[in-house]
Amino acid sequence: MIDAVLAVFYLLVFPGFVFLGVYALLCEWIDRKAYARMQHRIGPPWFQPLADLIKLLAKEDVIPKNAERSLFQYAPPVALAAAAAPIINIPIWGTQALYSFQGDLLVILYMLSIPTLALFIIGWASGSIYPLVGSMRAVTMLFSYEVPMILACLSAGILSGSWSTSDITAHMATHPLEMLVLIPGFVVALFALQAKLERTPFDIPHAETEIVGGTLTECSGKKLAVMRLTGDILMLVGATLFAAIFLGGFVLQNGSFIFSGYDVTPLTNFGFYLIKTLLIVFILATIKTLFARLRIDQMVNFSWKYLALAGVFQLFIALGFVSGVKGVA
Amino acid sequence: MGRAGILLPVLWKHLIKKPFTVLYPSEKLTLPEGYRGILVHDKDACIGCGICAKFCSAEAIELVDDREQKPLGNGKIRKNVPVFFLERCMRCGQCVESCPKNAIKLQKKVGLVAYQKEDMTVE
Amino acid sequence: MPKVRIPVGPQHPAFKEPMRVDLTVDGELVVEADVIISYTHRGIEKAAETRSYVKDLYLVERVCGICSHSHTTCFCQAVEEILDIEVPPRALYLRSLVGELERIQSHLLWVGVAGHELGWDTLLMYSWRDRERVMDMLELISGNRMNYAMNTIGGVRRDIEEEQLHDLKNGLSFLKERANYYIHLFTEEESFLKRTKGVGYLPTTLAKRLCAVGPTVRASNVKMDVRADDPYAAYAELEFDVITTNTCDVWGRTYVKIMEILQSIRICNQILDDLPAGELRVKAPVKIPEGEAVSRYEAPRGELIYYVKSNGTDKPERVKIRTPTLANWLVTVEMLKGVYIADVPIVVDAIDPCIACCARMLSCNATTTPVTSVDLTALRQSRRNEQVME
Repeated sequence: MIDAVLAVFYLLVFPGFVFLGVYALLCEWIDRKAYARMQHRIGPPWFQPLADLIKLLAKEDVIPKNAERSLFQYAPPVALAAAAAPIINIPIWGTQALYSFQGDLLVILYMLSIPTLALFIIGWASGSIYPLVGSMRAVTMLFSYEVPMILACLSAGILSGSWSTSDITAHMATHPLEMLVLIPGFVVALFALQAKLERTPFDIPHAETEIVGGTLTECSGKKLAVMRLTGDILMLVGATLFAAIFLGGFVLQNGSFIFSGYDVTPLTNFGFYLIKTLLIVFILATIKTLFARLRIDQMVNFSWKYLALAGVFQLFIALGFVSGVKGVA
Repeated sequence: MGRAGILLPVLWKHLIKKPFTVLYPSEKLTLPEGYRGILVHDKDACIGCGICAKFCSAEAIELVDDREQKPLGNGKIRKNVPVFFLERCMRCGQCVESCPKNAIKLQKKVGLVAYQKEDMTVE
Repeated sequence: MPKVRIPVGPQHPAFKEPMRVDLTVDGELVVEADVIISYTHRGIEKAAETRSYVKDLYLVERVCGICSHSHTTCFCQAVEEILDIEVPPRALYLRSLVGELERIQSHLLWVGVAGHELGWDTLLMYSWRDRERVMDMLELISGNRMNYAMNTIGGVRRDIEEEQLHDLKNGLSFLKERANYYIHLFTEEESFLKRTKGVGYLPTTLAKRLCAVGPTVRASNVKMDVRADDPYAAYAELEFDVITTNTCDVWGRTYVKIMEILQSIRICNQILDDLPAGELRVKAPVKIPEGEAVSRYEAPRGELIYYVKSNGTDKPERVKIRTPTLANWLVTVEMLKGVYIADVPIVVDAIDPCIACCARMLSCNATTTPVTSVDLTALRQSRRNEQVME
C-alpha cells in the first residue's frame, strides 16, 4: 500500500511532473535572463515562463482545415510524456535512481529522441507549407546529431563498465579524475543537446525569419503550451543526464554529510544537482547568444565532420583508457 | 577563415554591467535643449492672423471664432483664434517658425496621453 | 521532389514591411522567384500635388522613416533649382552633416536587421544600442530622433551651437571605435562568414545591365556614388573615398556598409572642423514660377531621384520619386535564383529594402481582378451607423 502511494508521489510530484514542471520553468527563466543580460538588456521577471504557460493554456485552439486532426492533437502529449519519463532513470539525490536497470542509458537516449519525431509528425500533419519544411529540417537534423550524442554517452558507459546510469554515476563519484577523460565527449554532448533542443546555432527547424514558425506554426493554445513545456523539460532532462554522466554525478566522494547530528546527504546531493544542471543551462544559454544560425547543409556538414569525429575520438580514448590504464593497474 | 565565438569575452563582460535599458517611466529620459515636444500656445500674444493654420502640414490647426473678441493694439479686434489638435500634430515646428508674434512654442516635454479628446486640444 | 510554391509574405517575420516574394522551390533550392511590392502604396505623389510646397516638405519627409532627410534634401534641391537660388554654404554643410549622420544611423540599423535575419539576435541588440548614440546626436541637432525637419526651401531651419560641437565630437569618436569593432567581428566570426560568403552572387555585368544602385552595386565592383559623380550640397569640398569591393556577395555588401560608416564619420569630422559662418537660409517665394528640375541624392540605400514640375502656383504640378530600393528589385530576383530557402531573407535584406519607400503604383487587371472602391467618408459614415444601431 505504502509502495503504491510512494510510487504515485514519485511519479506525480517529485521527481515527477510537478517538480519537472517547476524546475523546467525555472531553467527557462535562467536561460532567458542570462541571454538578455549578455545582450545588455534587462530580461524577463522570474514569473514570466509561468505567465506564458498560463496565457497559452487560455488561448483558443485553432486547427487548420487541411490538418490530420488525430495526429495533430495527440502528438504533443506523447512528446511531453516521452520527454518527462527518463527522469526516473537518472539519479538525482545520490547514486541510485528511482528505477535503474542495465541498459537504461540507451532507453533514456531513445526516449529523448521521441519529441523530435513527435515534432516531425506535428509538422507533417499540420497541412500547411511552413510546418512541412520545418519538419523536413527537423528530421534531417535528427540524423546528424544523434550519432555524436550516442557516441559520447556510450564512451562514458565504456569508461565505467556498465550501461546503467546509476552505475556510471557511482563510478564517477568514486573516481572523479576520470571526468577529465570525458571532456571532449562533454563538449560534443552539449552541442548535440543544443541541436536537439533546436536552439541557435541549430534552430533551423523553427527559423523564425525564414519559415515563420517552422514546425510549430499551426500549433496554438494548449498544443503550443505543451510543446513549449516539452522543450523546457527536454532541456532539463538532457542537462540532468549529462551532469550525471559527464560532470560526475551529484555526490561527493566521501560519503555523507552530517550537520548537527542529522544526515543531510540527500539534501546536499540535491544541492549539487541544482548547481550542476544550472551550470549546464547557463553554458547552453551562452552558446545560444554567441552564434548566428547555420544553414541545414552547413549543420549536417558540421555534425558529421566535427561532432561525429570528436565522438569517435572520445570513444577511442575511453577504450584506450580502460584497457591501458586499468589493465595495468 | 575565421574563429568561432568571437563575442565570448564581450558577453561575459556584459553580465556584470548595468543594462542599457532605461526603465521609463520610473527612470527619466534626458532630453536635450531644443527638443521638439508638446505644443503650447500663448493666447495673449496671438493676433489671429491664421498663418499657422495655412502652413500646418498635418492640418492640425483650425481657425475658430474668437469668443473674447480681444482688442488688438491698433483699433482692430481679433476675430479668429487657432485651435490645435494635438493628436494630429507631428511637431515639425512650421507653425513656430511662421508665427509672426512667437505665440507658439514646442516645449521640452514628452508623454502626450489622454483619455478624452478634449484633453488633446489646445486653445 | 515536385516543385513547391512557397509565399514569403506579405506578413512574415523576415520582412519588416509588407511585401511578397513567391518562391518556387525544389527541396531546399529556390528555382524561381517573383517579387510583388506595393502593399504600402499611400498615394504620396498625388497627395503632394494637392498641398503647397511648404506642406510638401513634411509630407515628403515621411515617405521613409530611416532615410527621411534624404527625401527632404532632394526635394528642396529640386525646387531650389527651379527657383535658381543659391543656398548659403553654412546651410549646405549642415545639410551634409545631418545626411551623413542619417547614413550612419541607417547602416547601423541594417547591421542589426541582418543579424536578426541570420538568427544572431546579439548583433541586433548591440548594433541598435550603438545606434542610440547617433540618435541622441541627431536629437541634439534637430530636436527629434527621426524626421528631423531640418530643411526648408532655401536653406536649413536650425543651427548648431558651440556647446553642441563637443558632444558631437565625442559621439563620433565612440562610433568610430564601435565601427572598427564591427569590422573585426564581420571579418572574423565564423558563423557569420559561413552564412554570407558566396551567398547572393551578383556579377558585375548583371549589376550594370539591370541598373542596380547603392551599396548593392558597390559590392560588385562598380564605383557609382552620386556624392562623387555629381556632387551636391557640400560634397564638392569634402574629402572621402567611395568604397567598393569585388566579392559580389552579401558579405561584400556588409563590408561596404561598415566602411561607409567610417567614411561618414570622416566627413562629419571635416564638417565640424570647417563649418563656415554665415546665414542659414535665403528667402524663397511661396509661389514657384513654371519650370521643372531633376535632382539626385545618395541616400543610404542608393541613388534617389526627384522630378518636380511647377506651374506658377504654390502647389506643385507633379512630384515623381524614384527611390533606390525600387531600382534594386530586378537584381534581387536574379540573385534569388539558385540559393537555399534559408538564404532568402538575408539575400533580400542585403539590398537594404525600404519597402515603404518604393511602393509607387498598384497594378490590377480590371477584367480578371474584381475591383471595388469605397470613399473614405462613406466608409466612416457606415461604421458610425453600425455603432449607433448596436
